[in-house]
Amino acid sequence: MRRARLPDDEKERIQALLAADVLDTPPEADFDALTRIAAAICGTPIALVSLLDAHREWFKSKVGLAASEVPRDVSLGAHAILEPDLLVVPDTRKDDRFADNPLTTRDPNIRFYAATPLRTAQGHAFGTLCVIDHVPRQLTGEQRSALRDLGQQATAQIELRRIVSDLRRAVTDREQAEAALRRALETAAPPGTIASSKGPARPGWIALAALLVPLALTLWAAGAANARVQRRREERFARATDEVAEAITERVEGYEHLLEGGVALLAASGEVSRGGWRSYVESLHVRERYPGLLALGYAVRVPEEQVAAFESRLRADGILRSVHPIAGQGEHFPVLYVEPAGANDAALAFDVGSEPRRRAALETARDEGRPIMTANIALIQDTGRAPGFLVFAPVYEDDARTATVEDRRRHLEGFVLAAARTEDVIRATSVVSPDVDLEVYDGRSPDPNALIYDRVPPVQPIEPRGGRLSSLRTIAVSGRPWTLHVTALPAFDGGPTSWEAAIILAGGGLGSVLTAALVWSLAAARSRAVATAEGMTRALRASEQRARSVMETVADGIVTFGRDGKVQSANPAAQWLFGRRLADLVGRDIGALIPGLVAAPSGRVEAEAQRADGAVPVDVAVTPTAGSESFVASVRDVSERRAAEQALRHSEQRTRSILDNMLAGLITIDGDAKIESVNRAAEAIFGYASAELVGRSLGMLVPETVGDRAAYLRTAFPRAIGRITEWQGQRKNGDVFPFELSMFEFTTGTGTRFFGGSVRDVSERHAVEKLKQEFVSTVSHELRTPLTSIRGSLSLLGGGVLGDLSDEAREMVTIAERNCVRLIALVNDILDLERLEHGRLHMDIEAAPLRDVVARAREAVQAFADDRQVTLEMDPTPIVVQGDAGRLVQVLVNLVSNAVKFSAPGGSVRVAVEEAGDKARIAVIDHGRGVPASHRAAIFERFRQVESSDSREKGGTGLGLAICKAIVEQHGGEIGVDSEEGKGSTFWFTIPSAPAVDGFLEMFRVADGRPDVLVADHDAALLGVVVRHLVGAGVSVRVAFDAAEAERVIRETAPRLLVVDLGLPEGEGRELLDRLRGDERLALLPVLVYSEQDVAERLQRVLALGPTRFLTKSRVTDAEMRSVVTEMLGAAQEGQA
Amino acid sequence: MKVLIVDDEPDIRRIARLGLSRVGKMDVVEASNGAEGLLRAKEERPDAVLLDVMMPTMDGPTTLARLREDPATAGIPVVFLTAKAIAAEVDRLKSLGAAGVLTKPFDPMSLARDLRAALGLS
Repeated sequence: MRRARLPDDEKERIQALLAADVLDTPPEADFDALTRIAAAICGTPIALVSLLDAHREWFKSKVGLAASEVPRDVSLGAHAILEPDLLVVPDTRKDDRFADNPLTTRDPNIRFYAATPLRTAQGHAFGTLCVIDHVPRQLTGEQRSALRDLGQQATAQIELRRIVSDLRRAVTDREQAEAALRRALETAAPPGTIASSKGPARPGWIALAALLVPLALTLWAAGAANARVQRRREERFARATDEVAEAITERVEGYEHLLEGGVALLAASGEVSRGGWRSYVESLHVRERYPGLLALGYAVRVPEEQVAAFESRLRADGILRSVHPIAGQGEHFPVLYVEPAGANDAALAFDVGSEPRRRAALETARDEGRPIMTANIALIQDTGRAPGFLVFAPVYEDDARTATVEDRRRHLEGFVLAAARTEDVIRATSVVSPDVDLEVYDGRSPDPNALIYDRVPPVQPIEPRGGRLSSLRTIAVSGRPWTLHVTALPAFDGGPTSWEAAIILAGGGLGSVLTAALVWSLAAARSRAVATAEGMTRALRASEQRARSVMETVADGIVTFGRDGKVQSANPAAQWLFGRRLADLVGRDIGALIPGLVAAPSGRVEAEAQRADGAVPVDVAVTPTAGSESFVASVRDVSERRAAEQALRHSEQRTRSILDNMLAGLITIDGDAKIESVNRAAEAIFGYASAELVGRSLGMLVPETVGDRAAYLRTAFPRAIGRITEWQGQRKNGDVFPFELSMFEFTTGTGTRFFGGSVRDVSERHAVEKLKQEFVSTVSHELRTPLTSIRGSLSLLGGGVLGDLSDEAREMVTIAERNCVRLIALVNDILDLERLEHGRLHMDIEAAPLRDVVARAREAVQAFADDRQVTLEMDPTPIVVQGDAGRLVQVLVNLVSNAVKFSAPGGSVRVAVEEAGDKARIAVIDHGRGVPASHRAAIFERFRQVESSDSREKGGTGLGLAICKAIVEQHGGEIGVDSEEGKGSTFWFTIPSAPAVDGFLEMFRVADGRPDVLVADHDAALLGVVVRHLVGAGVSVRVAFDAAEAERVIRETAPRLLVVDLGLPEGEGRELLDRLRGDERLALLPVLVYSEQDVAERLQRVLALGPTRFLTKSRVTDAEMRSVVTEMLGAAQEGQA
Repeated sequence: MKVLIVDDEPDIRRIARLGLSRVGKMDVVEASNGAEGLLRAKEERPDAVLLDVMMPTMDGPTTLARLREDPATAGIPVVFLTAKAIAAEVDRLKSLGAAGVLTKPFDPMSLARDLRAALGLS
């Protein structure tokens, strides 16, 4: 453990403490409030106001600690009072001052300690305000400054007590002096007066008294006066030292505010351009307001590999400089911007991390997250190489966490930096206390090598009376210690020496001496009052300075104006906002700057700020200052927000107008089927105005005839999502009409789920379709009848039934008949195609063995093939497809007869069948002339044949392939042709395979008495697993693959338990349960919902209207499922018994 | 074998008659509408009726039903002749109790053979 050394000012410190008369006094609310606030702000369990006398650290106020004092040997505060500023010890175990301190190693187990020293106006630290925690931690910037501020409050409280105690002493002094005067006057009274009362007078005693008393009084008064003069001189000197130290600190703090302003600008603007930086610095009027400051710059963190990118960024701004000096540290901090330009250009691209002193400061700034000053350096832009310094303020990435050192290191972006020549900075403070000499040393001691400022060249000063006054003071400037050596100059003692003469003159006469004593006593009291007033003025100035720095760095414009509406002040943000310099703003009428604004308090109002280049929308709030002498307007530029709002409004209008002008109706509803919005088309379709619909249930658009409208909607939703389905709707006038509905689900930014439905009234289309159907039917009949007659007649003629014809006549009849047959085929194909394309051709989709399809096609084409001397080769196949066998035969006949047509006599046509994924691929292969590549796509369109002569030569209507395509596509398959010209073609099509039926499960689909359990699941694989487990447990099982089958089995065989997967296609499981629970005979059937996904609690409640349990497949083992089933079966058995 | 042809189109009747009589060597009687068809069926007691589906006033299905209602004609097999050559229509007509369905346009040269096949005679 390291014991703290005694401070250099130990004696003065103790005196100041004793003067305050505060040691060992009872707790006071003023101090207790401070410790409570400190603990609350810093979030620590312990906070203390401690005072250090010669032997101990005594706690004037404490939160969270039982002890009332600790010996100075182990006191933490003894270390804290040695610090110029706040001491923060994040982890006492890692600090060799505290690591083995008993307060760290034993109760109260201190781990974290932060203390701000309490100092008198003369700089004597007599105690601390500290916060303590049992765990290691850090303080944020806000917490640090709060702790400092609270420390000042504590100091002020103690100073107040000292002043009160001083005044009390002064009053006592005066009373004593007055009493002495009174006694002297009584003694010097005419002898007669005394004799009359006290008998005969004794003049010798009186003379002696008259001689001795004045003499003694004169001597006493003269001595006292001398002592007072000397004390006053010392006090004045101490004050001068304070003022010098304060002026320097304030000056550098001013730079810190500038830096913080720069950091705030970078944070607020995201990316600041060179021009932006320039105008920021210009707006600060550095030369006038911050004398000594040379430059304000921005250095960015640039990893080695990005140096070139940085340099090209400079080039883009027209600056041809490379990062210098070259130092291979992996990470560089070159200066990107520096202003004012010109004089500071030498600093551009200078790597401020390249030199150890600068680097040490910027690393500390980075780690501690606050502005830090470098040790004494020569600035690169200062050709005179005079002492100078940089202050770095770290800039972190936007919104990055900067709680820990690691965070801060990771998220560092760069530094805003201020460069100043030390001499200029300090000389600018010379107006303060010009009658003292000042030397400033970089560091904690007056090391001649570290001298950075000397106010007056050393001359031999005259040794004044009372000794030469001199003091050393170490101050902290932006985290850097500077030692000030202040010495009084002869001028310091110039004025008040006349005091001596006054005292000597006063010594001549009792009255004047006493008067002098009285005057002195009064003067002493006055001097203290003046000192107090000065202290208060200083505090006020500091508080004003703080307020000003806040004003200067906030993003909002802040303008103060008087009752007369004239602007009194404006912060830099306001100057930017109004586009006017301060001088141009002050005195202007606030109503001219923000029309409509008057000198009266207001809440937040929207207004427009008048700029030279136009109006800017702003939000303004006006509050009166205390006493309503003036008003503060906080003005925020909201042009970006307004623009965004307007863009949003436009976008909404655009969307609205698109929605309103689209032909389809659009209805959005919330999760409870309440209508949220409807567009114009939807209004027209249903005949309601939007206002009549919004907020009401979608059920009002459903026909009364459906019965339970809610149930109708429940089934509609899942079926309509993501596809077009047809439903019945009801208009306001009661008309029921068909509409097409396609639903989609969407989630808004707030996470609320909505459904949208695109609605198309298809009643007209239905009417047209009906007409067309009738037309087609009529045409079909009307065309066929005459064709039947023609063909019949020709057939009879050609057949020789009506007598022999000449050869020529027979030839003509044959031609007529052949063309008649073609015409009939054409009519048939057109009708077929028309029906196919409108999906009205009835299809019986079922499992169809391709073996049969191929055989039937062969049967149909064989004669034709024989005729053309073409061999048909058909592969045997076991594949079963899902399709309409008749239509598939039609397709295959078409393709095969085409192939035959285009095969040379003696050729062959082969039908090959193979499996392709979940489909069967049927290929018809010929060796004919092939299909040119250019025709391969078009060949499936209507009336497209490879050569126009084909239809005449080869017969056919030109619709065959189009019909094939329509049929195949209706099956969900594809059709195409592969061909090599001159070598033949392969026409192929695919048809979905029929699902393979698990032979094992099939055994459980046949009735075999009353089963224990019916398992309904669409997933055959999972079903197989469940069934095997249950059968293994001796349970008799039936299975069903869909809800309809399940319901049928339940009604036919009355199983004891239903195990159902709710994920059955299209929510069938859910509907099945609804139906079961709605049927009183089946309502009590025990059900185990064994689903893929967790069933939401809300749905569980809805479903659990009967004896229902829920299991999630992924969460239970099969054995657990089995035991639940047997348990439920057991319960069902008991229920029945 | 005697066949009653019921069709409102005289041309069709004529061609069908020629096909059945000349090629198929059948006896043929005709009726030009459903009502007449019922009458002729009762009078002539044909072995089969070739009945057009779409006819004015009384269509084929109605005529079939009426034939079935009368015990005298209820047993006569009826084969429809339809211009709607789609499977659903064929199924519908068969479900009404027809012995078979022949589609228009038909080939008179094979009409007799097709009719016999529909009646299950050959």
